[in-house]
Amino acid sequence: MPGMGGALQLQNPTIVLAFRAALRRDLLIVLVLAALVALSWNVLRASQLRLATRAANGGGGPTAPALAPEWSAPEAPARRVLRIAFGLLWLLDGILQIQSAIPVGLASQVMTPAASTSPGWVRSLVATGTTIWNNHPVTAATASVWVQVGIGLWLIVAARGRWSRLAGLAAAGWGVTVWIFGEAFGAIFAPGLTVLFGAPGAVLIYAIAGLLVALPERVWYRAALGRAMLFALGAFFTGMAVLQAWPGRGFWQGHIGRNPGTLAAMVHSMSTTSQPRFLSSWVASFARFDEAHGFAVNLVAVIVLAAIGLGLASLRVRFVRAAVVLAVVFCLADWVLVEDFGFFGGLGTDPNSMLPLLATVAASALAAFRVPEPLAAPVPIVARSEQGWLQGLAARPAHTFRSIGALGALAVTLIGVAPMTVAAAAPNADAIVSQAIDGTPDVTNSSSAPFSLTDQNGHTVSLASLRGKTVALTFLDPVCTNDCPVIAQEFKAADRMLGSRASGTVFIAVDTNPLYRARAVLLAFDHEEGLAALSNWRYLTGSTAQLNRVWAAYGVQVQVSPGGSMIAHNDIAFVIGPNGKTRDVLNADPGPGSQSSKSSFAGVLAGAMSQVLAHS
Amino acid sequence: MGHLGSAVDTFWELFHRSSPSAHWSLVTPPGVADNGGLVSSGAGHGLVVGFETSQSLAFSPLARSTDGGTRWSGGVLPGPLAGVPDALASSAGGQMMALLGDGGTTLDASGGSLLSWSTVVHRSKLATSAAGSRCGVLRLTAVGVTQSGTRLVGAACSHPGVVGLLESTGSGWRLEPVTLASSAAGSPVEVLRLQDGQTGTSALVASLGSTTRLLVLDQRAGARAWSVSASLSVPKSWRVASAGTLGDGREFALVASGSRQRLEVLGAHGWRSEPAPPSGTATIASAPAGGLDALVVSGGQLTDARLAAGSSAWRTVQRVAVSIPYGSSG
Repeated sequence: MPGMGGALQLQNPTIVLAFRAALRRDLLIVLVLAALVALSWNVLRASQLRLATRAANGGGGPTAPALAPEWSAPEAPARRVLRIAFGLLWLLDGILQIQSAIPVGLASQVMTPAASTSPGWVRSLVATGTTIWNNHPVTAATASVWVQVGIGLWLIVAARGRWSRLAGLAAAGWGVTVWIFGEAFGAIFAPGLTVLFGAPGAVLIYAIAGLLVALPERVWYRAALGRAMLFALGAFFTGMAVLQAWPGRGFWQGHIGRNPGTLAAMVHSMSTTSQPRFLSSWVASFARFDEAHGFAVNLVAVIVLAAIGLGLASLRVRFVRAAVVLAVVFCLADWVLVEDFGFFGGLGTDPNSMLPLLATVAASALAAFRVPEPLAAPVPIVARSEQGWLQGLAARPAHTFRSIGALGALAVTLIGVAPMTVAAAAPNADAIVSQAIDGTPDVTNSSSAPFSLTDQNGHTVSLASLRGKTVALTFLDPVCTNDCPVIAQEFKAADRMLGSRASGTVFIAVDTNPLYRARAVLLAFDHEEGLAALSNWRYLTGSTAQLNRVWAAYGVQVQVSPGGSMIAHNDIAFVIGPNGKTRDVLNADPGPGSQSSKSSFAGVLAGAMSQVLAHS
Repeated sequence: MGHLGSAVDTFWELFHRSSPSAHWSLVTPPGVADNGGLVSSGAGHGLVVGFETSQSLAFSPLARSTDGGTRWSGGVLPGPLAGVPDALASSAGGQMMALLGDGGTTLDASGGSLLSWSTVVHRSKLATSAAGSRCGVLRLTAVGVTQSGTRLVGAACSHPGVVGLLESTGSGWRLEPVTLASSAAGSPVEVLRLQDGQTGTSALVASLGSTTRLLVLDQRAGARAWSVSASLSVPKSWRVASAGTLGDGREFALVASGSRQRLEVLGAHGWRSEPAPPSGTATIASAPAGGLDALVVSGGQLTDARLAAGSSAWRTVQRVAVSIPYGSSG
């Protein structure tokens, strides 16, 4: 009925079920991969044992080379902290993507609002991402899970070497993608920027950490990197302190007129997010405290941020140590009381910025002051030419494990990347969007009620005259203000999707407004919807009696409501084959009438018609 | 009526009564969602109502009734009605005029059929004509058809003191000769209303200076000259909520600022302030014996409050409960 369409529910059962089914399917693939990794590892270990046993028994054949350390120095503690901390964070983020509201809600409730106060070019860019997401909600949500889980595993498993650096690059690449499309550049182009709320965007920190992991390992053995990291962080914190101190942004006041100040308002809204009651009461208490003591709270924030910044930038051990301690306290307090852990509410996809920031601060301090020493004795490197590849692999079990593990993690990442790339290139939305609104078409093979009506150009059109064509039939009110124009656009899009096959089709609408039956009204509608130029479009009308008969025959209920409202009628579409039999009955409720729902329904309709065309 | 804060839950309703002493009846034409607004025009061939566009409806359906709104027949304009009160006009002889598009892009005419319209002139062409150039046409704001079938267009002019009343001469357009008093002649003028009746044509214009001055221009049927009334000063922060010609020929202006309203009626002795109508008054109609009816809207209720001639208090005479079709437009 007109006016019944609304936004997709966040927990739309069709989409949630499809999402879970996709995750289960991909989990099976991941388990198979894990089994392969385990099997490969076992085969190689068994081979190593055999070689070692043979050598111990003095047997013939090539001897297993002595196990030798592969690296001239242990992994830098700073690098390890970064790699493992961010590996765990990526894993957590991947798991958070499994929430059932993510497929429908992420684009509309997170991505779009994040960009809402940013300049137009940012909103345009984000809109590209939201369009792809809305067109392929299940694929996108599933892909996000595996890409992030894969990156997390990759960072953790691949500790050294090329695989490890590649993991860092992958993390950086995905991080930047999410930073742009998912966080609207961390809202750095929008007003109200503050590190307290997560500036410059949590995932940017993930990306920077990835780039650091991707650096050649030799740079980690010099304090210069650590010092540069400390200085950069110091500058960042100091800059954030200046920003926090800037007047006119509402942070110095607990109240602005009758409304809470900027910080209090944000914290209030965080406290209303669905979460355990004791947590929300902490956050709400802090909001009330800030309302009462806004100036003091901001003063403390400014001083602490400046102290952290200056301490880190000083590059002096004592000051850096103090700054790190202060950063731990401040960041944890902000993470709990302001960011409210970041992941509650059903759509939280990461723990916000404070944990990644802390990990980066810790790693920077380690990189500056705990540079690893090279090993004391020279390492006898066994020439590879002396080994077979199997022996080579067996001789370096740690490297072998990392390589196999990294390959497995890469494969998990690709489980996400591959379908998402294909989906992003697809011009039309997935059928699941339409199915979530309208269910699946009823496939049938029943006789179609005959009709003979007049089209918008005054020609008589009967069902019998359309034999040999595949017909898409629907019922539209020419003076409707919402559903019918959308359905008309969907028919038009389906015609376009059929391409050259459209020459064997006819798209028909029957007027459902008994008060506006004149051809001039139909022509006005055609002109409004850009249908006038479609050669296979027919908009049919007739006398009230003729229309009543057709409506009744096709199960269309038409209700003339009191003045002021549209004609009420159900939205339905039929695919009729060349032999005159009805092959599909589709619920044509356009739902939200969004670009993705229109594209999806058009695809479903075109698909149903294609099937009929193919078998006729 | 309805929830005025929500575009899809605001519905325009049409009420009709056969005489000032009769009761109001709800006669909103069915079949079209009227969230965008209604424009009406009445003459010998019946009452014609146009639906303003809303949501995805980009052209304006029409409806005509010849029996006071009991039965309606449908029609259509080839585009959207301009959002002004006098975007539709009809003559006793059946000629109809319609102003289409934002700011009055085109002027269309029909010989009487609601289904067949042709473009008379585009605003851009009118603006570059000799008459239009003298005015400095910014927007077309009203249409009228005299009883003799002469087409009139009202405009907002950029040139100070020029009243944008343009008459179609068949071969072109002529600017009506109207001379304003000096107090109004130094500011741009906009035609707000244009109405034709048995006795002639009247126009309500606004001189938009530091203070808005409302003036009524009258042209007797068959005459060329226009009389100009005394001006009504209205602070710039106030808006004209409703204005027009009452059934007894008097002009009224209901001006508002926030919740405050003032009612001014133009009589033989100039503008006169009437007692403030009830809060929520949407428009004014004639009441018997020279009285005034204030039509007050609140949610789904219309209240007719009457001010008898010489009285100082408004008295409720009728209430109409309207079933608002909330949610029907999405």
